[in-house]
Amino acid sequence: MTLSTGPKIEQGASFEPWHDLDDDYRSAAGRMIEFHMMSEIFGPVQEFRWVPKAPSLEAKLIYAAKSQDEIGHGLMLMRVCQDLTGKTRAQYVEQILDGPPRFMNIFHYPWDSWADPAMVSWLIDGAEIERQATLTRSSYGPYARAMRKIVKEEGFHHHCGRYLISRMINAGPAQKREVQDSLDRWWPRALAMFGPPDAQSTHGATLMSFGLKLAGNEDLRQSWLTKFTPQIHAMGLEIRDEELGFDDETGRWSYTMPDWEEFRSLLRGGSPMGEDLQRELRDSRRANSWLLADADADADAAYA
Amino acid sequence: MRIFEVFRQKTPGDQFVHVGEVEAPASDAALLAAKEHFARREVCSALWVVDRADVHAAYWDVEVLSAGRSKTYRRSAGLKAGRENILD
Repeated sequence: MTLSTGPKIEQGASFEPWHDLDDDYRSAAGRMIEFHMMSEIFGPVQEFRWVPKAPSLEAKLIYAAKSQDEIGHGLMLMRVCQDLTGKTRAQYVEQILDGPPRFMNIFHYPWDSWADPAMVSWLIDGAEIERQATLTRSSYGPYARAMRKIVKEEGFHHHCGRYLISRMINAGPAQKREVQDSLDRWWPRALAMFGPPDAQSTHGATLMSFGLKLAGNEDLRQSWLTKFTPQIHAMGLEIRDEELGFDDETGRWSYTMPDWEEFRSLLRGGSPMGEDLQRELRDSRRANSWLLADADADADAAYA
Repeated sequence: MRIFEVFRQKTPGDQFVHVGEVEAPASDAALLAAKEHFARREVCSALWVVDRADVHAAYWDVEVLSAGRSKTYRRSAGLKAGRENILD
């Protein structure tokens, strides 16, 4: 494909990989989308572990389909990254297996009971929809297009999380206690997931000025609180956040500020869980290497 | 590994629409990957994969591609034209 200058960076402009992109734009987009891609690849490694532990065949099918979607998102985003950065798939695989395991805060925490995978589907996939729905208008065309498919599937994950949680709550008081306990642990992590308030966000302003990111962290968190607070109460659960409240005058929610030091250290420095997930990916790559070698040999023979 | 552009037809008779890409060593592997990627949840009646190297893109700018943006002359009032005269 031939390079063409493409539109100028301005409100509503859309860029394609064959445009002569500004270096700053290319590296900002690459950094943002690689982080998203890593999260979509590492998340399901933890999810796979819970497929065999699902409490029913129905739950198992739902959860296996959900984690397959997530891997699919990772592969789609890897394609987007490759065209943007010029790195090959082999280089990205190496980065995933041997590079620093950098991905969303929530996959750095261990999961203790079936309530955790269900809670993450419900709250966190629900939170992801807030952000990703705005990203369907992102200025990088291939990312915006991938996001349309991803948002549709995250919507399904959010609904199945809500369904799995409601099944668990209705199963009995012991199960309901497990769900409440899980909510207590995931509430601050879900709030943190949107990232620090915009004034403290490192790359936020740059990404917004490039039209790569369309909404501020705080606005997205507020919108999530408006949707989820009533949903959680309707489920008969209690939000144990003493600062939680809605100010009618300002139209804003107050909440207990998440621990931003912990958030930053997970994103930068990783965690034992992150290393564990990475080890599992390496083992699985080693176990499947014979199949990859066979496929490559077949292809070489066919195109020789 | 090669990159294949994926085209999906939702129901028989529909046009094929570009839905994304997959990376695969050969076209049969690409079709399998495309099925998992783009026919997993969505309705699908047929799939094509095309090696990206075989895609020829027009390099013209939008001004050339949409030359003569005012195309009202292609939507002339046709059938209605002259009716006023008949009714008179």
